[in-house]
Amino acid sequence: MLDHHTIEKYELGWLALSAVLVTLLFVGVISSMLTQTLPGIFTRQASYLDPAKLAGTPFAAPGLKAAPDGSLDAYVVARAFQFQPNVLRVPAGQAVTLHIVAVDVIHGLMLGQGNVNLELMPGHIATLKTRFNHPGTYTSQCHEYCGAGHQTMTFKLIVEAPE
Amino acid sequence: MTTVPAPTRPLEQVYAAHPEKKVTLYFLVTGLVLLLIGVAIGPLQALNYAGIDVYRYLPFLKSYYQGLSLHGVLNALVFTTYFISGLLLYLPCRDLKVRPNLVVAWSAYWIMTAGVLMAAWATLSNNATLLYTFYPPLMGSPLFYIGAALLVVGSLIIGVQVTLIWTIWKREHPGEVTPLVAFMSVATWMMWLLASLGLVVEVAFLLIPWSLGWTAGVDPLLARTLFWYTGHPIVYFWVLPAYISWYALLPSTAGGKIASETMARLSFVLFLLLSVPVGLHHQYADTGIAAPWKIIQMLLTFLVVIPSLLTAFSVGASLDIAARARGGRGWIGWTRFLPWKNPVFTAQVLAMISFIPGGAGGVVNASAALDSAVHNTAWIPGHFHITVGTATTLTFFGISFWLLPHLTRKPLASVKAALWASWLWFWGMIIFAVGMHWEGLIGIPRRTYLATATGLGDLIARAHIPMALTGISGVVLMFASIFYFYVIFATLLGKARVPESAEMPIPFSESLEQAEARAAGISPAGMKIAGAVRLLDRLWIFAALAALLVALMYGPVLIDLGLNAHPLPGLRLW
Repeated sequence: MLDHHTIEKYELGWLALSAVLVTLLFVGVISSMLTQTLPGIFTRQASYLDPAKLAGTPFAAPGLKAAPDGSLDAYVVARAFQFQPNVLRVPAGQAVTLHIVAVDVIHGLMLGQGNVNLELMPGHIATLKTRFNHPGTYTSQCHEYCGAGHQTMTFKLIVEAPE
Repeated sequence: MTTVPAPTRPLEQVYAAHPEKKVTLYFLVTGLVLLLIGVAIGPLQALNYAGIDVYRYLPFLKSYYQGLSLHGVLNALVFTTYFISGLLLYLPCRDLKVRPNLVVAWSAYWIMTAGVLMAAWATLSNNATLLYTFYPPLMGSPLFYIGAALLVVGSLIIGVQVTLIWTIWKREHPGEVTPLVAFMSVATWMMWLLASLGLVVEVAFLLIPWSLGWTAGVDPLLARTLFWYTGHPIVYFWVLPAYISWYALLPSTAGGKIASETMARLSFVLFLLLSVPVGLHHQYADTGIAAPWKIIQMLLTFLVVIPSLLTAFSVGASLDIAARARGGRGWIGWTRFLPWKNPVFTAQVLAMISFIPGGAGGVVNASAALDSAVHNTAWIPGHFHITVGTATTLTFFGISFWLLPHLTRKPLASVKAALWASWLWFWGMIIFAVGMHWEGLIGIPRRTYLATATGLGDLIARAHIPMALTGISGVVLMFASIFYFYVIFATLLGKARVPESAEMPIPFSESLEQAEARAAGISPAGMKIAGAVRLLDRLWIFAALAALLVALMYGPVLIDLGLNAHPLPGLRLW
């Protein structure tokens, strides 16, 4: 049987190894984030919109909008128990800026594409620029409990192949 | 002449030598009875995730969400708080050979119980269908929030009591080092006193006045941030009592020694220092919190992995020592020499095994870039059912197999049923976890009334196998809980009590160092105490450092949210 000094020596080695592993993990995750695996995490602006006053903002008529210069902006409103719009069509491979806001309670949205997973705090607009590369239909659903109809609050992202 | 059987001693004399046994028993049994209710609802949740809706046949539950609220609150918050308050009052007091003030302990028990009854009333009448995270602006009955506050206050009373008992003990025993179990218990309570602040502030200053109509609104992001300030370290409050048992009690049950006392103490000091300022890793996806704070707390979360890895080493080493002392040999073969027929042992070792994938999944959740793939999916409940649901709960089952007989002097009703309960719970949870992690990777959200969801067809089409696994696990776990609660109630309701001399002992374990000193003929008082152990014994200093770290990591975030608050009125959407 080992004596306690030997075991402590091994355990100190294990401690050092653990510290190295944790450091590598941290470096790995940070480098992944720096290469934009989480679109918008560093650039998300803190902008707040009074959820009672959507009129006069682009959220009054949500959907995909193309600016004269060709850039795309998608506006989505989350309210119990519906996303507006609940089907969003975007062209594959083009940069799109998403603007999503919840207006009553907390909602959540994960897109099956593009590594987008958002907790939508009422009034706090989630703004992020991303690109959906793979054509297809991606189903998702509000992922933060918002009441009796939570399970019916679905969302479809349709990424359309260029013609 | 006929022999007269010796009269059984009247009930109160069972507790005569240690009246704190009775209050401990009340904490444990109340917690277990409430767990029984929470666990009884569990299979319904699992079947929902298999696409089977049982709720429509249950007149007393209005919805899946009401059932889930009860399940989450009772199992994760109420059961754990009762069990830990009983366990971490009793063990350190016996370790320090101090009798706690029973008026204080009983007040804590009754305050907690009053709180739980209030919250239970609100939840059972469908007035607090908020799930266990109760995020505003969803607003429940004030009874729910007041009840939750009283539950926490009860645990804080015990926490302060144990901390003060230890502080006085230190003053009366200058130069002595705190015995290990007491040391770990006090570190755990200090961590919880610091960690509970977020929840206390959220509930007392935001939610209670708001639900009573005294304030017009609550800022949802501020409330959520305060919730997770407590909501992550609370998982260490659940798991550290299990670690105490693994480090300091299980070696004796297994027939071995504590591998290294110094490292055990170091890991608890690390938990005290690092457990609290990590809650933002639940909020990576939140809009409204700046990325640098999330990244700093990600690093701190990773650092908490280190004491858990130390625990894995130490506990593994102490089991190895135990097996080799019983004749075990080889790299793997030694494990066969462990006392698998003893449910106290088996339940706890299975709990540890579940914590290996549980902890690894936790590292995934804490990594911002990976979390994006699993946040709020079924992966997350898969994760916490093999951490708090198994590592903690199954350890508490194992503890109850010796502690209830110890407290009542009634022998365990059935060793066989206890073993069945342990193995079935373990495999049930493993199957559940495989199913839920898998569903999460497909993209199925967590805590959703899946059996009636309308638009998830193409996700469900890819998830038939994991959904079936989840449903099966619910049935396995139902059998596990039948075995477990049979053992518990048959033990408690048993008539026979063993004499005082045959009382099941508390399995306080000897460390390898103490065993070596004893073998060398050195008295415990004459043992050389490592400088590191003396340094680590200054828990108040580490608590102060922990508070300072929390102030640095959370102060700016909370001040910013407080200054830019956007209060919103409450909504009832269920």
